[in-house]
Order: sequence, then C-alpha cells, then structure tokens
Amino acid sequence: MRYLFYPGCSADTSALEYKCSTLAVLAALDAEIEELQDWTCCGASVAGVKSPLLSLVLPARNLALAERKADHRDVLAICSACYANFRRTEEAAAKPATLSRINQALDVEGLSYEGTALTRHLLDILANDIGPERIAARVVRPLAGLTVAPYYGCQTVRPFSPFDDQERPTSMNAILQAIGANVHRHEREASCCGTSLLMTKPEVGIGMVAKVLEGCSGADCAATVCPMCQMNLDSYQGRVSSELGREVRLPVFFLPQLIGLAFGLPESALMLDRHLASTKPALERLAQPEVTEE
Amino acid sequence: MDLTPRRMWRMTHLGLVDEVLRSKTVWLCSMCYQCQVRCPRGIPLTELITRLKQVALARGVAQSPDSRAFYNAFAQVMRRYGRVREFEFMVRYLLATGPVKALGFAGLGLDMLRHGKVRLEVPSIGGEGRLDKLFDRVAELEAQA
Repeated sequence: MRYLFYPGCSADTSALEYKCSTLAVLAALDAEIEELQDWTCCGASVAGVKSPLLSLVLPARNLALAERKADHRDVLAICSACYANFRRTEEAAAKPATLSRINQALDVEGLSYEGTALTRHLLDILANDIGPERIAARVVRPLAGLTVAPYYGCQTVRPFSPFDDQERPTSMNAILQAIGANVHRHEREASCCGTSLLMTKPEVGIGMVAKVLEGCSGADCAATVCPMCQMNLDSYQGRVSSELGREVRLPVFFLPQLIGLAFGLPESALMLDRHLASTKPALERLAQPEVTEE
Repeated sequence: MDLTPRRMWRMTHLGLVDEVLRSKTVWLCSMCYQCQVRCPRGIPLTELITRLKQVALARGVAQSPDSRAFYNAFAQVMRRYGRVREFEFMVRYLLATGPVKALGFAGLGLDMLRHGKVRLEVPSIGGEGRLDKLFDRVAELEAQA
C-alpha cells in the first residue's frame, strides 16, 4: 500500500496532531506514505465563492502534481473539505471542455492535469484498504472500557461517498471495535459541525455544535476524521455549556490518535495534550485496571 | 433559514434573484450537502448556493458583511502564501469585522495559543504572492467566458 499524502493547511498548524498520528498509525500498518511536494491549498469553501473556475483549478493544481509521479498512487486526504474538493474536481474533469479550461489556467504554473488521479479519504483507506482485521492484529493495548462516539461530519460522506452511506455512515464502527472500544451510536454522526458559521454566525454555529455534542453524550469521547470538525467540537464547549445550561466536557480525538493509543504508539506521535477539552478523563478511564470476570 | 432550499431554487428559476440574495438562507449554508443528496430530482442545491454567494459578493449585496470579510481574508492569505496561515487569516478577518467580534474570539485565541494550536508567523509584505499568477490567469479566463 503506497499513497501520496496531501496534508492540507490545517494539518501543519492547528491539527498537527492529526497529521502526526495519521503518519505514525499508517507506518505501523506498513503503508508507505510520501508527502506531495509543493502542494497548495484546495480552496476550501472559499474558492467557489470567488470563482467557479478557481474552485476546480486549486484542487487540480495538486492533482496535476500527483499525476507527475509515474506510478499513479492514490492521493490520501485527511481533511474532509480537501477530500470533497478533490473528488469534485475529479468528477468535473470527466467533461473535456471543463478539463481544457482547467488546463488553460494551470499552464501558467507549467502544469497539466489529465483527470486520472484518484483521491481517497483516510477513513476509506483504514476501513477498506487496510481493514479492521489488520488493525486488530496490531493492537497491543485494547481500549477496553472506553466508549467512543463516532463523528463523521458532512463532507467525509457527502456529496461523494464511494465507501459509505451518505447519511448513516458505519465505517468507523468496525475500526473502533477492532481497537477494543465500545461504540456509542447516535443521531448526529453525519450532521454538520457548523464549519465557518462558528466564525461568521457564531449564534447559529454554537447551536450546531451543541446538537452534535448532545448526540455524543453518554460516550467518554468522540472520534473525528476532519480538522474542521475536530476544532469546532473541541473549541467551543464552554459556550455550548452556557447555551445548554449544563456542563459539557467531551474529549474530541482524531480517529488515528485512538488507533495509535491501542497500538501503544508514543505520546510524541499522538500529541494528546493539544486538545482544548482535556483528553485526561478518557485516558484515565483507560488507565483503570480491567475488571476480570468471574 | 427564511427560504427552504427548494423554494430558493424555484425563485431563482423565476428570476427572483434579488429576493433570494437578500435572504438569510444563502449565508446560513454550511455546505453540508444534506439538501443536495436528499433531493429526489438530483438538483445541485449546494452548488447553487455557492454560486448565489458569488453573485451576491460580486454585486456588493451587504446581507452578511462578516461572511464577506471571511471569504476575502481567506482568499487573500491563500493567494499570498499558497497555503492558509490560520493565524494571519484570523487576524485579517477580525480586523475587518471590528472590535466586538474580535473580543469574542480573544479567549479562544489565547486558549489555542496555550495548547500549541497557533503558529505565529511574520506576515510577508510586498513582492509576488505564491498563487498570484494562477489567480490572475483564472480571472482572465472567467472574464473571457
């Protein structure tokens, strides 16, 4: 298994722990990862608002760089917005007129996009290329006693979902079970985290985060697969608490951090102290000695 | 939302674009694609809302000045460095929205700084931006269309 890795902008700063834990976990699972050189922003939700062509050209610039590699490896995206933008561009490129317009723009960068690169989400690779059995085989410290609420967010599965259901996704369940955790199923697994509304319309965004966190209540922590989702669920719990009139404190992990814990990977690879909502309550639950059944 | 996505689509078809642009719906869309994947007619509703935002910003419809500031600050940083420097983007955004909003984010900013989530980088001023050529070329092509 070899992939070209597109980290995306957040993974180099606010979500550094996502990038590091992803790389450590994939290395432990014998996947070969090479970072795409000279990558640039996918355009996020902003490029499309500036110009429809720009929203295709920015992802295409990176896909063109990936296609320069002779062996046509799949591109690995860990941010769901990057993933959705790349897939959207791959679909649009099927139209020759669109592809030619994209290339008229990329020409100034000395690049040409053929429309052959294929982008995959980290969750797709973990669930389908690697699979729960191989993940389970690598576990040295099962997360027994830890109840995890999976949270997929939107763009992991919408509008492109070649690997899971668009509204009731399930691919995290078997992975969480493989690392020994209990799965807390809830109604908000694929609801929206509010994305940039937390900044532009916080009064609306806080309500969206609150709904997701309420869905997770009963679990010891949540597992996410997108930097934006993680940031929104993790960073606004104080305001959500005042909104709901009760204290909400939920550690919000990136899925590979939990897998890494079960693999016994070092703290330097997992960076569990970078979260705003302390991860300690969840980690302390793990530290408890297992109850042996009579 | 004051207009449901379905109503918004129909009004756009009927040419009531000004009314649609003045609605809250356009600015409340978080691009979750829920309406688009549920639409039994396969209408690309989320894509439409993105286009409506674009038209609104181009026409200077001031329904949501904060959204405008957000998109502009993000695009400026993306164009300048090729990647989004989150700290500079936040500073540019909050400078454009005014002190009340900025104060609302001060506590969160400090908390993030304390947890190593913020990388402080000196902004580069002057000279060519990393994606200037590409942005300019795209603008040229859009103008031709």
